[in-house]
Amino acid sequence: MVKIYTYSPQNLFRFTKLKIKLNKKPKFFLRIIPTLIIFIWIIGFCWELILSLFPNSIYLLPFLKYNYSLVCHIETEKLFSIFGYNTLVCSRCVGIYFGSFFSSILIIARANRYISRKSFLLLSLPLLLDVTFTSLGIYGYSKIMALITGFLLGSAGFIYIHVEIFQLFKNRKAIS
Amino acid sequence: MKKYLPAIVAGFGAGVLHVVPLTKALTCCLVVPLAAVAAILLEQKSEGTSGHFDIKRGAILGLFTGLFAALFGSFFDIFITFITKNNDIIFAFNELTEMIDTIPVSDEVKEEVISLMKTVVDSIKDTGFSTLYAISIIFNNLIVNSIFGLIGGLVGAKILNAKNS
Repeated sequence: MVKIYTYSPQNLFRFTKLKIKLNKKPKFFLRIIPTLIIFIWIIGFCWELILSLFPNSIYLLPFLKYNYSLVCHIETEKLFSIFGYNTLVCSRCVGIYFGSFFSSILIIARANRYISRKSFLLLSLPLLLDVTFTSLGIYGYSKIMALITGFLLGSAGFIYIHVEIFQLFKNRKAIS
Repeated sequence: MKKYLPAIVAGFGAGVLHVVPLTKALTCCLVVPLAAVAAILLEQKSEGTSGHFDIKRGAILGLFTGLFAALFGSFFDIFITFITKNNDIIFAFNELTEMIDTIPVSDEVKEEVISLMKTVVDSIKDTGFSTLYAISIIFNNLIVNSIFGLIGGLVGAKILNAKNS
């Protein structure tokens, strides 16, 4: 199946169409690359859980803790627990990454592949509202709420940009 | 070199914001993706175009923004640590020690990990520099910032194209 994307550049007065013809669907191993990257990232922030299985991997813990501190505030009271083991990122980030992972699996299974910008913004709204309300003190921080809103954003966000991710790996022909 | 100027400028900005405590706490993981979007906008402005932006170019700009942010951020972090002889890792040391205590491993392994960290903390307190810490932050920043920069570049190009279509 061939997909055709059409863009209309505003800087040109005459109507111009740039058709980007995708030669073929990405191969299976290319489709699983983002899933694998997200999976490795998830394994990294679940390191306390991994430690219970491989205790000698403790040497990596300070390194990973610093690594995740670059992308998350990692406040102790906001950390998510899996089987009693804390993650190295907050509940909201856990939701975002698990959401992305879930969507990447859906895409591998070809279950859901496209989302409109409106739907993406709509699914991002709960997180924005939750962050705003908790920051203003309208209600207290809830790990479950943070996880769910993060999950919505992560899953919608990945589906929204996955076409672009796959385009990076594919051969394209631009016909203008 | 000129074609990577937007990435250098945005990366420098992100690198500076990386070491400012308030912005670091507020923006979390958003600094580098936003810098990647800024790099795309700068590129468009410098070229005087406002139409379709190539996704691959967006990704490359994002990646380079992340790499420059990592290099500048690491440099500023190491430099400020060297001058102040103080760092977040010193504050996090006690917390990490408590955390390691709860992990079911032999005391020898625990002591080894704690002594390794103590070496880093002592080195920073005494001289303001630790080789292990420097290597670790450069490596971490390069990996994390390049991933988040790439994502920012892709999202930025996509949003820009959707806006212009």
